[in-house]
Amino acid sequence: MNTQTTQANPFEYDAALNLPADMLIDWYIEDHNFARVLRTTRNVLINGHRGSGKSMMLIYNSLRFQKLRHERKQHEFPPQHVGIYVPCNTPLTHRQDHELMPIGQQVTLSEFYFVMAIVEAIAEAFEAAPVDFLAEDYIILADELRAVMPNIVINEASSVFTQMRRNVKNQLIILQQSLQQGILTEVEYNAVSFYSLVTPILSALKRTSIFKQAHFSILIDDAHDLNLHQKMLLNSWLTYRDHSVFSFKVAVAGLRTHNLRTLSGGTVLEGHDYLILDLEQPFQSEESNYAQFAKAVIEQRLAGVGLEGVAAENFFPQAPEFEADIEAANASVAQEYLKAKGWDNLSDLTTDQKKSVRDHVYKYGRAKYFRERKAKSNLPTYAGFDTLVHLSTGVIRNLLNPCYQMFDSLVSKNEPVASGIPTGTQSDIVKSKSDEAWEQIRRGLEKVVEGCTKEDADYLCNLLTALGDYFVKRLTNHKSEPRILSFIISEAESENMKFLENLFRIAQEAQLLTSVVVVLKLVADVRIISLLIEFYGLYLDWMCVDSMEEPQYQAGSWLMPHVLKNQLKAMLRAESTLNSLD
Amino acid sequence: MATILVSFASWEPRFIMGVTHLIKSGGIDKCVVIYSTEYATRTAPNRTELQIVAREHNVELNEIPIELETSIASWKQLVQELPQYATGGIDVLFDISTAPREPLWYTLHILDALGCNMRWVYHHPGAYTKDWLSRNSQSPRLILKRSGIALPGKKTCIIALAGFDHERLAQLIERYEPIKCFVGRQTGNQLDNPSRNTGFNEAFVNQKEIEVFDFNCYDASNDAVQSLLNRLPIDIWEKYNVIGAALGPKPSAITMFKLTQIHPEMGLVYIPSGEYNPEYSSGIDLNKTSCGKIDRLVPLVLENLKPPSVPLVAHGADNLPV
Repeated sequence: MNTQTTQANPFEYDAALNLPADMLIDWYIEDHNFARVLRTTRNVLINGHRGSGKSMMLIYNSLRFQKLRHERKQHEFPPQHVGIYVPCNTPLTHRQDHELMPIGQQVTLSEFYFVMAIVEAIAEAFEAAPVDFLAEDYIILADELRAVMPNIVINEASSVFTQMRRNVKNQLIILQQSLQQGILTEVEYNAVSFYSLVTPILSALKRTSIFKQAHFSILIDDAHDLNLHQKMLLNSWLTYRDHSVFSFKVAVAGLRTHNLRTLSGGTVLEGHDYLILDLEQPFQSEESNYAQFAKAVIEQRLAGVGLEGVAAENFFPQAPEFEADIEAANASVAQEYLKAKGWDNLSDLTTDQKKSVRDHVYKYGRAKYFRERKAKSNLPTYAGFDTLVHLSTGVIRNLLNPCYQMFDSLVSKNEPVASGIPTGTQSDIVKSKSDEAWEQIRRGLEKVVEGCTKEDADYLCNLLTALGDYFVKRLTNHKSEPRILSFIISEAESENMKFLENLFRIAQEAQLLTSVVVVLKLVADVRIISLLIEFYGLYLDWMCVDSMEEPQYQAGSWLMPHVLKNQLKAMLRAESTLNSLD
Repeated sequence: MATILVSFASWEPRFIMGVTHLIKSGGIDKCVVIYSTEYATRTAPNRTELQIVAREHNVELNEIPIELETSIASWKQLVQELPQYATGGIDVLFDISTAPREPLWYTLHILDALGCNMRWVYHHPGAYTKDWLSRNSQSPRLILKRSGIALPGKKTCIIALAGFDHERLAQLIERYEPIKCFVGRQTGNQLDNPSRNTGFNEAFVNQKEIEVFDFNCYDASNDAVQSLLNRLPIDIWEKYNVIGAALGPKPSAITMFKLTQIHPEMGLVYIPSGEYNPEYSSGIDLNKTSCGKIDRLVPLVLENLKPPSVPLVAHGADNLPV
């Protein structure tokens, strides 16, 4: 290993917008599947939790970064697929003065803000990443701008983008200044629409010599922050069938609850109006796309501080004693199985018999280890890259956060970092993160989740505690390895579900529950809700025996414990549920 | 000249004790009490008692009911009712002690727009409950008419005067993802401040995007506003979309309001609470009463949003230039 490693923490994490440009380019992991979807000329909705990398993906594909990538990595520039990045989590989007106006004016003002933000993004993109336009190209652009922005002054054609940005800035300042005045809400401004301003500008760009063959992607980030009118406007734009000039790539947190209605009262349809790129992927399997992506992220970060070629698994090693204990438990289970079957030697068995032994060991080995641990033994060592990936629940920020703290912990103690993170340090940080999460749950989620009442927080605390107790009991008392990644609520009535769905929403916002998948079973009036419990921060002994398999969602093939309505109610009330659950 | 007393009804003892004290001190001709319809039942006993006090002292008492739940409803109700009682040139004393920040800022804006001469007063309680004060916080929202001047392409910067409820600050940062934060941390040992501040340092101090400085949030004088300005890099107004939050003691809302008078490009943000403790506070400590005035300012010329070349605020308490 390279011992010249700097002390810079390679696992730095921050909102993508706040990262220095060169750092973002160095850290971004090119994914061919994602890149292919982003290069399509169709509309795409990108769904992912906060911290899952949506913004980074969009920013990386924006014009400014396309230029930087050209300089750093010799990527194509000017690109034939141009990204225009439009962030929505801005104070401009969060304004609510439009609500003081009649409904028609609300829509008009909302569209004005949104369109101005897109036009500014176009101008800023071409200012930040200048393109070698010909003189006649500038004339095309200047003529078009004079036509669609009547007040614009363009003395030099080459300054079109600067003048465009200034024009937007002036219009927004004047409008917002007038909104601040007095006690009435009457403003005058030049109303614009997407089709009256953005479309002509993009079409003009497409007529230039540089972009004749190009396609423009309008990269809308954090679309969930748009106001209701803006969401419906955007949905209406998604229904625009002609993608010869532009398309939208829209990042949303929580697509399942995202408003998909259009202004005309219709609904945008997946496949017809847009494709979905879902970053909420299964993360349990070592072979999952997420696990491979996580490995690439960590190894790229390590390479950035001089640790080229260091495998993530080596930098975050598994605890040898834990591995040895599991091996011993597996061997013991295998021997018991062979004996029960009357088989003598593993090497003499048929292929089917060998598979049968492997399956048996897989099912009972880890369970035996946990079942036979002494009641007073210390907590297991939570270490190893696979464990960290698993704990991160498919969210890269959740992976980088503990890694950052592990690295920082070593540096602060002047301990060497180049040889990897000792298992004790890994385990300490995992447990500390877990304690933080439990502490937050016990102190009350109402302090951190918007719209969560004290009662909601108490119910959730009870539910999570009861589930933990239940899973520990299953783990330590059942012969087989319990499938504990999820639980199912059956016999759910609509009134109960309304109450529960609110709790699950809160748990999701607190990132304690990763997803709620609703499956309508083909039995009348029976809804099955499958919940994937997030383990991040919830280190319980049962965490280590989960199946590492992707959960099964097919009706009729549930392997997970069923939690019936009354049992769930008992859990929410913090009553003892252990007996009733059996 | 006639003075109107404006107050916001509460079930806290300091509301009725404070307003009664002001009325008994004389000089008040008219009293306007704003109250929340959501908490009308809880504030009814104090409001009834105030009617008796007002009658005894020949003070005209008027009530303005508002719905706190949405910005739009409370703004519309205030803007419809307040101008009936307050007109240009009239002296208004605003008792901000128990006013939630959103209607507080709306009231200040309306009185300012009407051309009233404004003074404010804040009554400290004898003690706060040791239990929770407010909870079930809702989504942060920008204040109507004081939403600032935001431009696309600029990153967000937050200026917050923070009290003991640092989870609100964390919520604000989580919501707006600012690239830079300037946080005034409440100083002093008032009202168990150090113990309530537990966790503040761990959460915010030494975070690379957060600059923490000590600030006396009870001081809303012009000198305090100037000292806050002095803490801020002069280029932030041009560089960022700036959002201001007053999460600390109530007078910090006055400080932030004064800051928007100087820098209207800054937007004010409010985090509503869904629930307040019925035992929020007890008693009143009249010895600690804070007060001051709010001068009307000629708004800055914002043509280019350039920072001022000279300080706009003169030194000396409540002596802002007109």
